[in-house]
Amino acid sequence: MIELDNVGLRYPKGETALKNITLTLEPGSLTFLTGHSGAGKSSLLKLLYFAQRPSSGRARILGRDASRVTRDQIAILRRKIGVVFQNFRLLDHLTVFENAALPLMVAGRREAEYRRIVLEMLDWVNLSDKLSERPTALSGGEKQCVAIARAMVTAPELILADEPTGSVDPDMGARIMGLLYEMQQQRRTVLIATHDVELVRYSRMPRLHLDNGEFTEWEVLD
Amino acid sequence: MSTAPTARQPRPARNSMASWTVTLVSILMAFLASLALAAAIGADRLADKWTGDLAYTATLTLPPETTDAEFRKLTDALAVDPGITGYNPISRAAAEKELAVLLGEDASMIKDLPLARMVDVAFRTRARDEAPGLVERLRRAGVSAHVDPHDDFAKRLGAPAAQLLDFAITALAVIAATAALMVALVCGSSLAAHGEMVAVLRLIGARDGYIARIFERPLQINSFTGSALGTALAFAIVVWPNQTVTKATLELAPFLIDLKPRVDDWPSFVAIPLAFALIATLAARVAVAISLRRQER
Repeated sequence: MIELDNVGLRYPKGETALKNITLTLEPGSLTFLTGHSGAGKSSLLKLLYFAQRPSSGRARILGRDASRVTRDQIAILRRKIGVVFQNFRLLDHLTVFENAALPLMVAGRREAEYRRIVLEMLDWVNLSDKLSERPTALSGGEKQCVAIARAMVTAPELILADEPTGSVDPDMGARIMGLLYEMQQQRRTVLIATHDVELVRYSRMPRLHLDNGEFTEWEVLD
Repeated sequence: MSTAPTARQPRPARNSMASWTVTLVSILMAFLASLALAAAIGADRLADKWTGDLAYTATLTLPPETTDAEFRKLTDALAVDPGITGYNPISRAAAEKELAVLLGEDASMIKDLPLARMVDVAFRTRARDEAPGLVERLRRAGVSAHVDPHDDFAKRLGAPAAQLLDFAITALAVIAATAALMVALVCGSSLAAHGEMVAVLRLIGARDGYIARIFERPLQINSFTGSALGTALAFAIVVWPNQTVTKATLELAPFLIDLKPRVDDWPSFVAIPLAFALIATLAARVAVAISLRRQER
């Protein structure tokens, strides 16, 4: 699923974001990625969803060499990756239903095909009664649920979540984590970047710790 | 579970300022384009008439002292000449009328002027090529006439008409370029304003072409609507009856033509909004391609 071998990432201005990252994520695994702000968590996620090309080393993601994929291939590969952000990244001028349906529209699916899938997904995140609402009318937790529905609607192989509980209250955070665990149970590979160590400890799932662009730990916290 | 609303294809958030800008500029540009097109069509027709019709005609002149019998000899020869398709003797009254235009209506001396006897002739082929043969045939028939082909006159008239056509085509090209530039600028600013939407679309797997189409569509619609309005307005002005050359004018000056577009010209005007929509599509596509290439993956 994901194989990184001694991968480094340096931005054009010269700043080194990642150093010597070696990592393998198996299908159906759920892994936390921890580290302080600026440790390289977001950079690693960007590399995994092809927003950045590795500067060194070898990265195979979803069976493709990340250094060699073309722009069009990236677009197709991203349809197999669901990404959830702390700031949701919803389009405020579209409805909840349209936001959730967006990846299927982009993939060229007809409404008759995706309508049921989107409704099921929004039902799963408990937003069936807010289909016509705009994101601006939703709470932070509800927005994150829409983002999760959008990430899941294409049944992606890989889920990347960047601080998914960072902007929601603890109860909603627990619910969102529950949704992410459900994704893993559906044999999706899930990688969750967070700085919330308690969340990781409670989950009893493996975690990778990044510090200054390098892995310093790989462990299951008790 | 409540009934789901219909999901429309992704679209940029409505931007009234951009929409109105494209629509209003398209109205103005299409208005100008329609006038330029009308001018181009008129100039083309004028050039055709002047260089076409006159190229096949000539004026035969005989000395003022020519008798009616001699003149009849000429017209008899013309009636059976194989090189001409028709002839029209110019009466003394008609010649005086034309001179009056130059000398003034009150020029009483016109009556006393010795005027050459003239006949307009129309040839089967170009007058310049046919004239020497006609002179020779008339000489054999015992008539000595001078032939003045209208080619040179036609060439002199055709040159400004062709220049007018060039001006109109240049104006159309400038209008098209301006419209394309305007659409590209609006599209660029729309992309900048919708940076987050573009980023999200790419994140969920949209190809550049898909994103381009999303931003093209409103520009296409606004451009088409505006240009259709502008064309309709200009067309109404161009075909307005008072603006046409009257029949009386045409009788007095047959080398003039009615510049008003004819029915068979109308499809050219229908093409203007379609051309604007096409220009908007291409300009937006190029602007989006350039903008997306500049962004990170």
